[in-house]
Amino acid sequence: MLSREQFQEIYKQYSRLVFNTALGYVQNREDAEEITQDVFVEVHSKWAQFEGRASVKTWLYRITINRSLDYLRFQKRKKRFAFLTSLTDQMEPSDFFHPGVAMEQQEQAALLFRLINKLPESQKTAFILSKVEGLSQKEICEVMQRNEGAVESLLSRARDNLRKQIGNSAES
Amino acid sequence: MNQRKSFSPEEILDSLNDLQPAEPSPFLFTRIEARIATQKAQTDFSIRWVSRLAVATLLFIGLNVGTWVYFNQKSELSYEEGVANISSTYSLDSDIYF
Repeated sequence: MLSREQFQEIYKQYSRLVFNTALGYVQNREDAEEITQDVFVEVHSKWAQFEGRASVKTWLYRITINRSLDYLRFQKRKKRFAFLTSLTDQMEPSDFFHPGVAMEQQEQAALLFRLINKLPESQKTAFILSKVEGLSQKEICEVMQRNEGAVESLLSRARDNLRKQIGNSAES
Repeated sequence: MNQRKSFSPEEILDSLNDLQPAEPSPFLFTRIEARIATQKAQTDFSIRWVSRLAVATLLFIGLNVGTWVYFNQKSELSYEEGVANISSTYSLDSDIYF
């Protein structure tokens, strides 16, 4: 069982990491804070089950990624069943505001994040970990539990898909 | 009015290069602690009720089994006792009737 001091220490050390990773997926402060809450509640309840095979950082990344993807799936399902939005089955955060993006880059970043949201989940995760979190390929391999070749291929496919989508969105 | 600027693909792909880490709200930890406390209270409440229900069910089953056993033994005994009582009261030789 985690003591309050231990839990506070873990929070101090990793809250930015969790919050920023979640922000990479949802691009909205409130939703990212909601995910951060979920992650730390899970950490608190599952601390005894943490076997220490991976580092705490890697473990936290995995929980955050799973929680963020669950959140996005839930939002997508909600949208799919919503009456007015049933015709546009797309994840387009209307209230995009990423606090870490410079003001003059917000427009490009909004477009990029909209396109990232359309990528398959594994490509999206690899791209976010690399571009948003700035992790090395080796670290991405640990978090995603894949070998280096697989991660490299995911990243290059993600970049190709994004380039294609940017081209398509410029044409339309 | 709502003019859309056009950006090159590289400009868009590079827009995250200078991404600064954002800070979560300073009150987030307090909110997390409050949520953990609420969850703990809910779990304790459910555990209390589940254990009460389990004890009540066990008592109910125990009482029923006990009553059944008691009356079954009692009825066998009271039959023999009854026959003996009747035969002794009326000075009957129970062999005649068995």
